[in-house]
Amino acid sequence: MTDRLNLSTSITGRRRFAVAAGGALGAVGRVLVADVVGRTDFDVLWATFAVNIVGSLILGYVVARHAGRSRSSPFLIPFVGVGVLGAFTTFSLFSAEVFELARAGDWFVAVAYPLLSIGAGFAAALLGIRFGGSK
Amino acid sequence: MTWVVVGAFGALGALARYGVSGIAQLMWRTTFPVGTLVVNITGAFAAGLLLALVTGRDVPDLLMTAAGVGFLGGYSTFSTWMVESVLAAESGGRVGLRRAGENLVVPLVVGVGAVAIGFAIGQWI
Repeated sequence: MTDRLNLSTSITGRRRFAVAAGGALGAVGRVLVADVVGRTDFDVLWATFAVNIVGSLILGYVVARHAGRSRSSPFLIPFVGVGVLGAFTTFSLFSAEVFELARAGDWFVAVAYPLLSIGAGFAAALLGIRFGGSK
Repeated sequence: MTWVVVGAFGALGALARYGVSGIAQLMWRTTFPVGTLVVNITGAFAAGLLLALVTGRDVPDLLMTAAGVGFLGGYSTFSTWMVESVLAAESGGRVGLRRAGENLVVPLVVGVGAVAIGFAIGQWI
């Protein structure tokens, strides 16, 4: 057991561990949101939309905040940025949803959904960066 | 049980993304965030493939939860894509805006295309 633990004492190993731990939390968080939205009358597309926009906002904030601080932990970005927020948000589901909408012939939503997601995601990331960057 | 599977495969997906995007970014020495692009496109392709493979088949829910929701969800990322696009726009002037535009449009178009190709291959298998 101690041998195994020693494997992750290098900084790279600990960073990987931070990514994995954060990834587990982020993925569980994403499914929680989908679960909650699934209990309402809202379409499940809104769950993907919500995690992606909220995740972009927080990542923007974290990245800008980290960049402005010299004594920020070297594990902050691997854990929160790469791990939690990377796994909380999703591109594969997003693009598969667009494909399914197009395949079902629901062209209006197939065009509106990605445009709205990208527009709102970009705005959210920008907002997060502005907030995080201001001292 | 579902939560454990989602967490474990989400962790694996995030680790795979960390590795793949790092390697891709090293291979193509460019300012374009190619690491995230490679991850998202391969993730989209795999999602299309998985979608076709489970359609009309009696596949246990847990497999879809592990491979699709956990692994691919953890592997691909939307937030990094958005933040990198904003950073590209802020890198300055017209060039920055053009870069941001490219970084928004290319992954979307190629990503949905990758889902379609994965799906077609999955149906053909």
